[in-house]
Amino acid sequence: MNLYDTNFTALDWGIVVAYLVISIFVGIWANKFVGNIAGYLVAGRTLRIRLALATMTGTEIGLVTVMYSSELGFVQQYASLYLALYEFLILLFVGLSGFIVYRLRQTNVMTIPEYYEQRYSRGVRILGAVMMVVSGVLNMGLFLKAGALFLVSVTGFTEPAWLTDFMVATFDYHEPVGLKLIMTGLLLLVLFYTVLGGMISVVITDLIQFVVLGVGMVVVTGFVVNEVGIDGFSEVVTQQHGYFDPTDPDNPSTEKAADGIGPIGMTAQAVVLFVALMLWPAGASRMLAVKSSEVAQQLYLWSTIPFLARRALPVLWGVGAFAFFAINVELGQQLQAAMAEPGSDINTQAAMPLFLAKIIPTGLLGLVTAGMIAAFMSTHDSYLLCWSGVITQDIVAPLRKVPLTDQQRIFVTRIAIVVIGFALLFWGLWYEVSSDLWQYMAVTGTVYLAGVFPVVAGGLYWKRSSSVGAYLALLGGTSGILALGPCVESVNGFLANVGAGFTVNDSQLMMSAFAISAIGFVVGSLTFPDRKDVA
Amino acid sequence: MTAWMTLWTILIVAGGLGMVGLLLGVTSGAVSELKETLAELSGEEAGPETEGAAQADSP
Repeated sequence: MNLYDTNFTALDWGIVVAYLVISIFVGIWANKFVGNIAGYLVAGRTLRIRLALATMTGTEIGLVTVMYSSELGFVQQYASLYLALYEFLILLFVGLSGFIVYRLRQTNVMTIPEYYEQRYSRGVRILGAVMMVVSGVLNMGLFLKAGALFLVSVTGFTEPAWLTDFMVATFDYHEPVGLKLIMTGLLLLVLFYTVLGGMISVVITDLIQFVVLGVGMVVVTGFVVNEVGIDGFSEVVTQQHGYFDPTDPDNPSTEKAADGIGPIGMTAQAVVLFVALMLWPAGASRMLAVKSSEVAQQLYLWSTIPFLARRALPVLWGVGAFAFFAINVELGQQLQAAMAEPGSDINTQAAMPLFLAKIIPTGLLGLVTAGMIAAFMSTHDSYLLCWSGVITQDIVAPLRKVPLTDQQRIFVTRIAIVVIGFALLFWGLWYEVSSDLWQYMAVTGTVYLAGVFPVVAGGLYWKRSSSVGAYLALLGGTSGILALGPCVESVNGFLANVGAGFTVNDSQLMMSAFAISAIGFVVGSLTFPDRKDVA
Repeated sequence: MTAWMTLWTILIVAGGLGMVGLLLGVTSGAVSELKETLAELSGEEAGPETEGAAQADSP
């Protein structure tokens, strides 16, 4: 058997194409319900609990989620499930206590930066919005590549010779372009129906995608368990030196020392997830779109189920891929060789789709792929709408002296969707991730999350919170960018030059960003109180 | 089986059963709620930017 062998056939392509055509028609149809900006961005705040839960699930179980979770399952095996446990416990706490989300929904804002202006000042709103968009677009930067890598791996797509010849003859371009073309195609598809229908088309397609990807996930799990078997999953630990204790900083499945999770990594992820689950804009936009504060709280409580599934099941697939490539030694060697090849698009993310391509039968593989494309689109559309809505409502509109009409706001939002989309395409093509995909997302998310937590939590629960404190907290979040792979190397190079005698890692730098923002917020608020508090 | 593996097994089984339960429990209700949402949006005329805020949080 060859590494790129797949059960994906013309029938599967037909199923996938049919699904995509349906999605386009939904986008066109939903356009007729767009009346005003509230309808476009938060579906007029009409969502009830079941629909909100389905669309939240559609958004939060993205193909990128499946890819990074399965990658963690492949690289860190069972130990990576500590993230699933964290998400379950944090959502349970928020759902039972209503911490932050209840009060935030009561403010009736459409976006988090809108709350900044309500509580602090217009300047805080604009700065907060800029930080949110920068962090969000960086965070989305690798979604396209992960999605395209899934499609290439599962379909066994190989670049046709005529295309290679054409690129060389016309542009003197010698790199493979297949992956890039698939990325572009996926992006254009999502842009099309998000630009047209806004949140309404996102909600409708999310509901369809919730069903398709939910069924797909259950089906895939059945095949993975059937292929590897209960004994095979046990042998990951007993015979293949699998990693199962996340408190151990050394991953026994690799030869490299101290490349596991450990207490510092676990703490950093707990902090990131605690803030992200409440205040990550895409999820928060769902919370702000529901009918009432009570529904917002219920939404978080019920979200414990899909959030557990979105982590646990793909991790199981990744562990299944680890067992499969360990048992099928020749294939495992081919995979290692493909990953080591210079300029290769194959990395640890590809292990899961390459595995699925061999165990899921023709026909069903098309349905599963449609489900995964559904997952890709449902996350992408929500994220695009979220960031572009913030640009319109919280950057462009506050900077204008003459208020924008609703139609102008919708127009600006649509332009912003297209601009962000193409920025993502170029970032995805250019940036080579030097850590695993989840770590990249946690680090880029920190740029926003470190600042938003003190500003929102302080604003809701601490009377002495001030605008100066908010500015310092938001700016402090920028230090989170130091946790990106190339920046960590630079920081450690600097530390070596000054003879510091120690090095730092990305988890430590992420926690530092949260600490800097929190300290800046408290010190700034106490030192420079807002005038209304003084009076 | 260690305590860690027992915990991970529980999480995986709960995740799988939870997804099945969610599909069965939410889908039909969500479809009818979507119809209500679309009906509300169809009857709503374009209004000022704060319209969404004004109608939110009905008891």
